Amino acid sequence: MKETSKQTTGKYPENIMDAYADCATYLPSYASDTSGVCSALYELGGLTVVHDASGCNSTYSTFDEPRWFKQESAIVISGLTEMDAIMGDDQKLIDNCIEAAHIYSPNFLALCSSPMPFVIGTDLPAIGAELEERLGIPVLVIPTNGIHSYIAGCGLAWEALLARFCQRLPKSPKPSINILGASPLDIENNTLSHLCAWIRSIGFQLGACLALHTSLEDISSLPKAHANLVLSSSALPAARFLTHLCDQPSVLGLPIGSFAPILKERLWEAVTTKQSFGLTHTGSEAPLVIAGEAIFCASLATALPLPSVLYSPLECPPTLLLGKDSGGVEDESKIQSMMATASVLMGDPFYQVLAPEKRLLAIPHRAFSGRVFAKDMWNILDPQAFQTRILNPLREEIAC
Amino acid sequence: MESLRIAETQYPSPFASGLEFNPPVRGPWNIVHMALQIPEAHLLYICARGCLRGVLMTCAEMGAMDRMHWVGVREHDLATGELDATTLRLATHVIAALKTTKPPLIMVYLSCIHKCTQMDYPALLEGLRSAFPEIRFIGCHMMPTMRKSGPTDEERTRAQMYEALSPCQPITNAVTILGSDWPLAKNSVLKSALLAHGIAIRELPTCKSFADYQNLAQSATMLSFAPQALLAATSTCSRLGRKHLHLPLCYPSAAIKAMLAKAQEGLGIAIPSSQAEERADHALRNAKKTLGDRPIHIDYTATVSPLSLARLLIEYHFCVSTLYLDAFAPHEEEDYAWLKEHAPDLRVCPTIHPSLRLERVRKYLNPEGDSILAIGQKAAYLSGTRFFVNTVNDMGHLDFGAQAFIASAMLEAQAKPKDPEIVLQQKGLGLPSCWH
Repeated sequence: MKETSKQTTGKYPENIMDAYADCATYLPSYASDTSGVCSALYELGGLTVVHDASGCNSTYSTFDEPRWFKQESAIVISGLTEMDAIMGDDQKLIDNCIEAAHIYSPNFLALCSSPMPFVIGTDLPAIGAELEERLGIPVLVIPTNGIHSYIAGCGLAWEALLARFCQRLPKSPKPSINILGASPLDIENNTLSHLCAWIRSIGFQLGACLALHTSLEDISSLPKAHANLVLSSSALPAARFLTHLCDQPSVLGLPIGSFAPILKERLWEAVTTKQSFGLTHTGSEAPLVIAGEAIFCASLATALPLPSVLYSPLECPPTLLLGKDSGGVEDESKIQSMMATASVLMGDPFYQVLAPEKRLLAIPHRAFSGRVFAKDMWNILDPQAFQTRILNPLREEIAC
Repeated sequence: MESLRIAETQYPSPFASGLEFNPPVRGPWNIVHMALQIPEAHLLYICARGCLRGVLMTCAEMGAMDRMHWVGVREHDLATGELDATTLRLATHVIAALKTTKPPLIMVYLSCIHKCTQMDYPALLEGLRSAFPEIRFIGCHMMPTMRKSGPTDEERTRAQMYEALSPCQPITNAVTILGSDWPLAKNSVLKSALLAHGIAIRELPTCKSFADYQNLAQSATMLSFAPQALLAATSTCSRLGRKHLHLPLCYPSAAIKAMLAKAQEGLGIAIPSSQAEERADHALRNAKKTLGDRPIHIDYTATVSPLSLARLLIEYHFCVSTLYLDAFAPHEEEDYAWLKEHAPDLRVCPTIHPSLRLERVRKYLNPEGDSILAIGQKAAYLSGTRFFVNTVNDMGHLDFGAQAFIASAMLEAQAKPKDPEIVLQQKGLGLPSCWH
């Protein structure tokens, strides 16, 4: 087997050394990085292999992936055994991947790792290099380890994908916008459709979408667009990649309520000046706690008439959540203390358990609650729904 | 993936191992479903996020998150050797943070990477016992790397679930059933005989409180039926000093009679079975008349003894055409030999081969399997039929009662199609679920 550089992990800041991070008495955990990889690459015609004993695929396909029952995909596990782990039989993995590639005839093969191969130091880059040589198709080696969240997994997968399939291209004749960060873990079909319509309604052509209702060919056309709209922290590595590749600016945020016109202005300015627009929120002791993915939370906070404090336990840029906001640490006691002084909580219904007496405005998030509240998911970009489910109840609270 | 004629298969592994796809069939129970059967007990999972997510969501879909707690594994702790200390600190914290009364029992699960990194498990348990002397802590394992070599996580959990039973004086007017997920069905010959002799049946699925659970220890004789319950039964009986009687779950009449004879001898009671046998025989003949030559597919999640079930149905001239399984179980070697001789053309099909992923989705898009009657969820999914017996792990049926059950369940399945997308995706058949 070829020797390659050492497997790398941990591209995200290690700020999890807080006292009680990464544990919980009542809350579940967010979807993992391996689920993120599978979700990110689902529709692109690749073969995704999770080097894992068992569980990663059933967990992902049961709780994190609504497309599994009806929509074809090639996502499998290696079936790592105790003996493989001890003896390091990488040849078995290589041979099995080759056999599966002959079955699926994929556009590419993606290899990622669960905790056990990470601990025993499986050299996935070397395995990937050998597979690429023998199969003659691109092999993406995605350095997950089952320890991080789907944000890291999607991020690493999309970055690796773009590095192999995108190159500088002439821009499309009319101003166009890509959507980056669309995965069922963060966004539902109705919301995505609404977002596409909104982009067209503000005068842009729709570019490619990374990576829902899409194809590998669409992904290759990402560099043609004039700017990117980044929905989730999971797409930040992809956005950075496109900026480096072809000076493509990015604008972070979701067009929720009164934030939509601001986002529209930023997108036009980005297209005109090639300037990127980040997103920052500075939390204060506020009557309102918003919990969830950081870009979503900050977009929502900007659209509200009340000050808020944000809790995002997932990986996010250190410049996004400031002040009293909490980002990047999954810490149940942290959000409990935030909620102690607040009167309203917005986020997935699972958070209600931490403060049953407080009012919760429910925004189910598949990456957190899986299928539990899937029936209750709603389109926050729909102005009427936003008014009814968020703004009106907030006004009632203010009146109280 | 081509299926094989059973005559061409090798025992016990008919197919080479390879990459594995996961069929969207969620009825079979996992270790969370099993362990939560202990009333009032809580679970503490200590593992990486990728492994945690499945067990946490399983619990969440049951609406039981108030009994589930977790500690993640962090890269920093693995790299610095602080895993043991951090784990104890965080585990202590999550238990201390419980707002309600402390549970009587917490089952503490560690994972493959703790074994690989040589974590000091006894020290962790000792630390927790010292911090919470009012709680019993049982050390458990979630190690899927042992899935093929065994003991499997399911076998270990079944055994560990009884480790909190306290030694006590034995009583003879009750028997305890160990390692079963379901209560023994009412139509079982064995159950009728035990009750007729004034012998109470104690089993975990009917326990309502932790005190009920503790009473499981009292019976002088303990029974097991499924091979997956053997480890639980032998270890529990050995520790408590109880008599163990393993009555293998089987389907053909001759095997059932042998099993009941063993029960009669072991329990010292008469177990009349001729009437139940006649009823089952009548039900099976009636089902055969109705089903005719409709092809029947059986999978290994429907029953712990799929070859035994196939043998029974073939003896009654049903058209059993396909078995879905990835390995033949050791306790079915005799039935395997019988089928190889008497039904050599019976097809054997794997359930996790990667090619099945594409074949099955295409079948869903163009249904072609409705001519088949399936027994079990994987058989239903992989054959593409909407006519199936929705069952897992025999659902508490035993002896001639199991024969009668399968006959009536096939007729019921034949009469009305089910929606696979809804039925098959419900996690933990028979348990509370948020799914539809």
